[in-house]
Amino acid sequence: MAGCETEGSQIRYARLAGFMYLFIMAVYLFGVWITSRLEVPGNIVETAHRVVENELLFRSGQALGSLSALCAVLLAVCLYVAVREIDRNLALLALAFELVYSAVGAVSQLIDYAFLKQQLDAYSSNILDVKQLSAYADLHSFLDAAALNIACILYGAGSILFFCLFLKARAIPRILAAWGLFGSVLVPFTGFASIIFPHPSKLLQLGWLPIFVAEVSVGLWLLFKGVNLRSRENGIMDSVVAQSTR
Amino acid sequence: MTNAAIDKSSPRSKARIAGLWYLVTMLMGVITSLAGGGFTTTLDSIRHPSFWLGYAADLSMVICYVVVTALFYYLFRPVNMRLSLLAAFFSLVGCAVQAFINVFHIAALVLLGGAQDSSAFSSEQLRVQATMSLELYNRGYGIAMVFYGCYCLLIGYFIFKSTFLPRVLGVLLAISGLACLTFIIPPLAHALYPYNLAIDGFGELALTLWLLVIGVNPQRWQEQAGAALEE
Repeated sequence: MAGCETEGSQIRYARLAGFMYLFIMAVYLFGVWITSRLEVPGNIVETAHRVVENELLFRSGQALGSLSALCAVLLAVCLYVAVREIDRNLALLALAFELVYSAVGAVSQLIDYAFLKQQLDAYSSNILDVKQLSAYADLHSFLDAAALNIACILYGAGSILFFCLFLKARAIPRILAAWGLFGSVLVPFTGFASIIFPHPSKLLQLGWLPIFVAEVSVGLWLLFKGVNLRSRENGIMDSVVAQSTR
Repeated sequence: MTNAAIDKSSPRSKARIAGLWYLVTMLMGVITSLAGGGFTTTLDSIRHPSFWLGYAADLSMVICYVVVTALFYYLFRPVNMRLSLLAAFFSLVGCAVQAFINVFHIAALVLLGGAQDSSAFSSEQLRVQATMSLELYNRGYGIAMVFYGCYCLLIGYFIFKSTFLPRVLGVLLAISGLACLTFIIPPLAHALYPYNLAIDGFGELALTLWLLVIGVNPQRWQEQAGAALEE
């Protein structure tokens, strides 16, 4: 009876994890879309003018970034509950990486708020000239990208472990888990390469594509199909046998 | 605590793995310092190509320390499960802070590296802003050290209360924790530098070598785990 309750709870958490994968992606992209609509590339004065006129909208876009960092904690906990029976230690390690990622992601939003405040104040009081405002905007975009890449390195480490456990447990189709693992391995490399080469080539940008595809497909799978507990039991049995023969 | 909560498989090997990861963490710290990264970064070293080696080592150190944290959580759960979780949270917050402050090095690099429109600010203005970025890194490093200090203090307490590791290691690690906690008052940490970091390093190195060479007493670990199960 207790076993059934545990299984039911794990399926619920897996479905919630699927939903969170999609929700976080939608919230993050919507936030980026809102803020990018107000930005005029290469024209900081026009951008600042638009931001001042639509400050609430701009702040809402940034708040969505904070919301996605918050939801990442929920996603990590849901994934942890869904896979912890496979290997408690690895699941815990993955959770630890994801929590550090979420903390870095949330704190990095401070960069946005700090620069927003600075640029709006400087724009309204004419303390800085256009060139200086433009230079600060460049610095802002570099730091924003650096913070995101640092966070992604940590995210990648956690994601590798979660997809390893999915693959080991056969809780989702192996092709999905293997693709997710492949995408996760690319994340830290792409993140680090993007820090070293701040003007990345389009080829480097492709490094984010596999994890994007994997998260959408795994998210949909978990949301609609949940996890396959029978396969997962086989996976657990395999790991128990492996541990007992060690 | 359930049976599953305490995995009884080979605590000695897990302790040795923890020791190995701890050693790698410390090596990354040494590489960071030698390459002019971390808190040793200066305006001159940031322009040197070896800066990237220090930068990579600094980030790798955080990743390794997350692994150490997870392994120590497992190792000291039998001593006190709730406090062990609290200790892990202290360490993870320290890791998050340490990972984030690397952004300030990127800021200094962008300011000095001419990635911006160089005519916007005078070279003196850029130097001042870059120096401020490095100072912010150092302040952030101090904040991370405070969290690591709380972590080391708790780990020292766990070792002291445990039956599977020598108590003297617990005392050494608690002293390491106190040395880290000097960063709670930056002028004090500055006055005691580098002795506070040396004391911290000594305690951590002693624990690392013990775990790596001797590990934990598996029988006593399992006895303590069993006692925790009965509570």
